[in-house]
Amino acid sequence: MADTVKSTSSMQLEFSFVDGDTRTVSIDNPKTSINLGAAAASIGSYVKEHNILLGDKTGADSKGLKSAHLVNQTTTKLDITPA
Amino acid sequence: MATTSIIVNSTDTSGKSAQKAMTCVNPDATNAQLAALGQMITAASNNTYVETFRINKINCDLESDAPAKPTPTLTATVTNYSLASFESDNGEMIGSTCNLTYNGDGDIFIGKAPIDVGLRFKAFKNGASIAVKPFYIGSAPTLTETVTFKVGFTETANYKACSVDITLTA
Repeated sequence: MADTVKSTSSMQLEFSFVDGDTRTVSIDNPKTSINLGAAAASIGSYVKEHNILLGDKTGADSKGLKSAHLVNQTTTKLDITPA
Repeated sequence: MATTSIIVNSTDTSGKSAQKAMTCVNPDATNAQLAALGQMITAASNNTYVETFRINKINCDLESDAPAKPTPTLTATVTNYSLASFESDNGEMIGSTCNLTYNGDGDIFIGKAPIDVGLRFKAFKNGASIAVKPFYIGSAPTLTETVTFKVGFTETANYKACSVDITLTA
């Protein structure tokens, strides 16, 4: 048995709110060809324009996107079968 | 407080269904806006958009203050003493006794009279009642006007404060 490698990725969008709160929305399985800046900008501006997301502490209005990250994660299931 | 959440259903490339829940969504957002956001989120992923659910949660908990403390019953047998109804006996004025019945658990207090007429008051247990009696030390006081003072019981964890006005006339 060999090690089993599993790759996952997610796009993490950090929104900020007028009370200073921030929330991170994680979107799993983003397109591999994604243009992070463009995708984040379109979701971020839509959320801000329509004030869709509220801060989860005081329900404050959205201030817009603060940062966006693409997170690629590799999980390796280790093979511990004796050689 | 009413809160709104959305659940975005999608299908991943292997055909499995996936869900993305987002809480604290603006309750004023329209259904179309929420669905559009669901589609945008899905479009950024490799998944295929299926549907968006809007969940409105209305918190129906009733918030109320702690139960009001009951006002204890306080009755006084005499609320109007006349100084003439007392006679001095070794500094104690013997005569009308104001007997209080009280069903709370507070401490008794005797309020300050507006003028100092040289009278003192004592309260003591008198059978099932509490007696309040004026007394003096030394020479008998003279009253030129009516004196009103409060006799009552303090507020406790269980009962409100209560008091009764007692007047003393010459």
